[in-house]
Amino acid sequence: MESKTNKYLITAILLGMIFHGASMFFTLERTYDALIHLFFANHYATSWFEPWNYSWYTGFTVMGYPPLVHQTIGALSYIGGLKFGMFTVALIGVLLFITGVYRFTQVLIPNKKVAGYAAILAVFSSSFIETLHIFGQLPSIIGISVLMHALPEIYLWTKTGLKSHLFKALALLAVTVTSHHVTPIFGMVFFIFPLLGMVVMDAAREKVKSNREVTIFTFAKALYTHLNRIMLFGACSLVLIIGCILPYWINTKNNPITQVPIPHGSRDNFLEVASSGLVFFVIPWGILLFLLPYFFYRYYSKRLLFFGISFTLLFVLGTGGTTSIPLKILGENAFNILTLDRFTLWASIMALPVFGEFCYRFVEGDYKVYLQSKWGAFTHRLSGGFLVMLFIGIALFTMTLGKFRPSQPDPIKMTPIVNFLNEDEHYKWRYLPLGFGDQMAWLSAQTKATTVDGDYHSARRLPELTTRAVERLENSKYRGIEGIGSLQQFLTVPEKYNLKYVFSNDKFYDPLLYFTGWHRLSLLENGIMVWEKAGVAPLPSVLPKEEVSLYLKLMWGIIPFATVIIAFLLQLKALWKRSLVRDNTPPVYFNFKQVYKKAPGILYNSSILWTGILMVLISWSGYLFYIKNTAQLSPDNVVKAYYDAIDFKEFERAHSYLDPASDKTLSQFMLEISVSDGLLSSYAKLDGLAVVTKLKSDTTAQAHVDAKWVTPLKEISTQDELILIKREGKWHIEPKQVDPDIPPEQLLIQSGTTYYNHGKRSVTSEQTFHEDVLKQPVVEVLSTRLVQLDSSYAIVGTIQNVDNVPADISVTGALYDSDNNELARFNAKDVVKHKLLPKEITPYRINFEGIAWQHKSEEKPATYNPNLFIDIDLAETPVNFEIQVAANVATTDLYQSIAVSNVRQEKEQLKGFLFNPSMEEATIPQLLISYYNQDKELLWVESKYIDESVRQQRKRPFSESLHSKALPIEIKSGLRTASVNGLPNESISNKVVPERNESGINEHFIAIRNMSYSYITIKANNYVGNLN
Amino acid sequence: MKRMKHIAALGCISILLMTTLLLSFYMPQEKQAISQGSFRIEKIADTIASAEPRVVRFSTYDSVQEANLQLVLSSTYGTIALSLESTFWDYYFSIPAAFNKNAGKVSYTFIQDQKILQEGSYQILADTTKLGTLETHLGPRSIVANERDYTMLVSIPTDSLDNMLPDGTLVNLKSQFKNTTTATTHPLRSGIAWKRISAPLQSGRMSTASTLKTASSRELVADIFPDVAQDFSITASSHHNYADGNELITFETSQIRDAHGNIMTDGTLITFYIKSNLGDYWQTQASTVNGYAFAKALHPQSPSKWKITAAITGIAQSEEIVVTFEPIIKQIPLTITTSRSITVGPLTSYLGQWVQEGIAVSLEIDGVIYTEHTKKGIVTFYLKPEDHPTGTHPSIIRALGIEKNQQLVLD
Repeated sequence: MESKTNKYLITAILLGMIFHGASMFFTLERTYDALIHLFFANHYATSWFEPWNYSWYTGFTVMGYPPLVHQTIGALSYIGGLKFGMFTVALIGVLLFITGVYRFTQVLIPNKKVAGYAAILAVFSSSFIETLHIFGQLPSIIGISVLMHALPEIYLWTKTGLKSHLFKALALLAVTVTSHHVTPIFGMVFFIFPLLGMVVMDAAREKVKSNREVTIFTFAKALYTHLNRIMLFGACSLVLIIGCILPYWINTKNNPITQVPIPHGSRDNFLEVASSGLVFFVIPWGILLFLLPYFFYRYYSKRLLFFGISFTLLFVLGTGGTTSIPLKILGENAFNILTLDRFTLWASIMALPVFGEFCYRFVEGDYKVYLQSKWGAFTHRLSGGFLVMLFIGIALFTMTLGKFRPSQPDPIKMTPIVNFLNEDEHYKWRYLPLGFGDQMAWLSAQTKATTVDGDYHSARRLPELTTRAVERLENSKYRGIEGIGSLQQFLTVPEKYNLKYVFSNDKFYDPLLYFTGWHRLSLLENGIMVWEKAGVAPLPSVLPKEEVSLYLKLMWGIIPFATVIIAFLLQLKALWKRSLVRDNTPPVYFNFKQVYKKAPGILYNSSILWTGILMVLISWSGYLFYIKNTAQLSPDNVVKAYYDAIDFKEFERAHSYLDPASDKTLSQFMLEISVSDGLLSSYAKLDGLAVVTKLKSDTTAQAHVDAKWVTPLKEISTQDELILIKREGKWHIEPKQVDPDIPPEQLLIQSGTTYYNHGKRSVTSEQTFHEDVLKQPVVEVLSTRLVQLDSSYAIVGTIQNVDNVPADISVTGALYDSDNNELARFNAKDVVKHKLLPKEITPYRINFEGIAWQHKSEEKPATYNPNLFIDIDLAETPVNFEIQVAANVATTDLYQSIAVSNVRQEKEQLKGFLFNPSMEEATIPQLLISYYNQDKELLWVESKYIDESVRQQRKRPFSESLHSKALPIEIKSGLRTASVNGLPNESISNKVVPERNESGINEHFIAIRNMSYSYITIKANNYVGNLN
Repeated sequence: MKRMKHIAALGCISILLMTTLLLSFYMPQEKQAISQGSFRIEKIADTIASAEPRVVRFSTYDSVQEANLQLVLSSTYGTIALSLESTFWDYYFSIPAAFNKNAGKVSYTFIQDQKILQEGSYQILADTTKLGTLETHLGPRSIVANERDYTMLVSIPTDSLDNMLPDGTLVNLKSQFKNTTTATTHPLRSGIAWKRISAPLQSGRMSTASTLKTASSRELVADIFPDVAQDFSITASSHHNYADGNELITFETSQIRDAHGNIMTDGTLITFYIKSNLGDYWQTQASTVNGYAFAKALHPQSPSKWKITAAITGIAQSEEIVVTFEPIIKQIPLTITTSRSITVGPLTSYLGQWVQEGIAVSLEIDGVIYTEHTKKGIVTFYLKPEDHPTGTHPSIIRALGIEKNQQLVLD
């Protein structure tokens, strides 16, 4: 047989290089995983043999992920930087994938043309595009591609027993192992086992005259003769899988994944969660779905029978939580750890050879003849054109999906952040990025500063993270209570983690930062707000790490590259032999060419039927989509669309739903929007919407809307009555009246005190001299009391800044048992005003927060509840307590802008209005309400956030429910164990205000009737979002 | 030519001569031979700290036995073991320069094969002739103007090699406050001189420094803040005294001072507590500027009497003042346009003008309260037939602190 260059393969490679090579520059950096791999690559580029990385999770080992791809990018980065390395490896991945499909197809369907077709189809395979351009899973792609290269060699070894094939197969398998650990393990089951079955089947076929004569008996006989080779190969590959990444297995054994599983879309029920169904089922399968009958028909032919079983399994596993079958097959543990999208990827890759075969037969083989005779040439060509258009269309749609539905925030310029961390030794503290998406990995790759967060969740170490299904703190708002709860713990007790800086790219988190005692430092030129916490000690210069033995380090550093070199040399030898010796005998599997017979009628009929069913399904879901999403088709839709538009801040769209006959012009509407601010309008995310519409007539309706909004501080429910009108076949919403309140004054004039602290130091990065540091302000604890409410404990009290400079306080409480063993320690979170002017008083409450859902038996709530609070598990009953206050000079967020006015009790409600007499808008007002018994002893403190902002010289009515339960019981009180800045509180109270009197004490009590307490006091605090 | 020869001969002779001379100079002196094991070094004398190495010679030694002699020195610097060094004709120990820099007692032990041959100690004294820095600390850096508070100035003079000076050395500790300079001399005790400076009774800034002969410290300052405030008084002012809910009332404190007349630091928070005769509470706050605090509150919408007190909680407060707000309307005008549409207004104010936009008007009917806000003095309520069936309904309309009972006939 004459050896010719396969022009289909060449075409496929060229197409692949152009198509993927050109587009990856726009997609790869925005994928989920690519930047994480880049971070790992940077680790190897800076310390090849040291597996410990301090950058994430207070230190973790990179031995948790096979290193080959990362090391390759790292090595290439010496030539042209990290990103050059990443793109080069991605291009190599494309090349390996296309050629891999080509070689894999040849084994399954020994026909060079079919293999060529498959290679071309591989270029546009939507699952491959999704994996590369949306998910960015480079190691996974390299792994599966190299595995496909190994398959022909495995076949040849088992069939011929030539040692050279065994070596080549093992070498390639080793490369697969070192690039991705899951691929070879499951590849063994889903690719290599069926391949071995096929070899035995071929061997059995050789012994008899026709396919029909291959029986279980002949198969068993052939299996027996080949068993030695199979065993040898199996044993060797087992050794390789364990040996090549031995450090990985040792690490997995030492640090088993004990974390709570993180929800993944691929485990959803695709019928319920349509978006997961789209991303993890419809897109990767794409046009292949239409040809499922053909795939099953071909894979259940005798030769490919084992692939048929494997293909079916993969197909079923890929459906995730739609049925309970995958859960039963994998078991609960594996089901929750694995992401199931990989099964769909493998299934769709396994479909490529047969898909290639179908296309070959359709374009130039027997199907062409058959269909042309049946439909006529024109219809055949038309359907072919239609299929090609659909195929390319889905490919392009997949590739651009990231553009239309961005999975990542806009690219962030990292240089200003890197500069900030480098300047003035800011890298000596940990930082936390918020709202960065996977770009946080790119930031980590560029700085030596470390963070408590990280982007490789299997390596999480802190119990605050591992006990919750929180992928990253950075995007915790998408993880509801678990996310915000984890984040709150880090923000409330930052000194525990040496966490001093937060880079906020999402203003959603800003109120939480403010009310937990952080303040804004500066807005970087890339629009990132830097938040700082005062009084956090820098990291110690020596950080703990887990040491591993030298031989593991050497193995990890040397073996991966060695496998590539060995595999390459072996292939080179084969290439050399082929081109010099001109040994052109085709591989033995070409002896098993498929003879195409006339397709059975049942296949044709079932294909037509299947296509029909799919078409009906697509049309039906399209129709449902139209009915549900066409905004003004029904009163229900228009309300939902209106709230959706408001939620996504698409105000022009929202305005289009308003009644055109009303006098609300777009500019009036936008003006009203622009003056509304606050927790509800600026920091809320719509979480649930219940609309009840009542049709009044054909053209009018009334809607009652119950909306639930998630904010970083609390959940807000709003009730709204809307009037709906139908005009010209479209439903509209009657706009609401605005509050006509106007302020008393036109031009506001005010003088006041502002602060600036620049440390009186010369421009030097030397260690700060002690005289540069301001004295810590003196604050005094006025009262403190350990109380018990139901089964939980809290410390409440009041603190006054008795100094002449403003103070930023952080209040730590600790509980002790009767033997004075510490039981718990926590900081006051948001039930305290952290920034105090001279002589200002704040109440505080310290709750002892546990780590949520530490026990597997605990039921997790299905919905978000920011107020949900997990009490710490106390081993003993607390008897003693202590309170420590640390104060630092505050210079910002000292603005007093709320006058609590007209406060009165109406049954169990506290009513009144907030008036803002100041120059700044109070974006989020907070009322700290303290409850006192009849002896005027403070027993409880609550924080109430007002949903809407108070603009300058405007009123904002409020109605807050008072504490309705019984007051907590006092366990112990007294100031003996209180300390401030390390000094006993008593020494301060004796010295600073020795003759404390009753001034203002009686006046600030508000008498309360018919409740379990007698008095309350109100302390106002406010977050100013936009500083003038 | 001849002359050249002469010069060459002369040169040769002179070179010969010089070689002999040098050789004779460097001829080894005769080493004293005494009995084995009786090595002794010269006593090491007390010395002034210096950055030079120091040589310790032998008083007696055995020329045959040279093996394994060590001089172990121990001081604040640490402990070092010196090995024997030698020149052509002499053996000695050399104490490295770094070891001679630190003042203090040095103990030495001369040993051979871990056997102590000789022990002793010497002092390295600070070099009082070459003064280095005058390390000075002041703390706390801010104190309060009263009899209880003080700050402390500490001075640690050192020589050029950073050694503390001997006890008894006199240091000048100086402070300056409002044209008064105080300088006192203090003897060093354990290397440190210190002084407590009582807080002056006036607020301001105090500068301090210390000197010793030619050496000077840097300037260190302490802020003197006022002591706790004394009671003060407040006044209220407003453009008019009508309860229209749309005018600001400004409260002003007198200049708040401490017992010694010092004005409160800017930023001191004053809270104003208001209790109205209608039983509701109001609260507003302001921080002082030059001792004065100005706080604002909104006029109430109901005629009422306010009792106002301002306080720095637990420290000082004002006496109570009373402000009375007059009503702006006497009665509520009402129009019923259709039987289900009730228009309240126009509400007019003290000059007959419309009341300010946004005044709350409420209608209580069948136990439900509807609240609307005025526009051009008018609000309109529409009562839906499904909520309020046909018939006569008693209702109450409230606005600006006035109530009106009305029988509403709905059909």
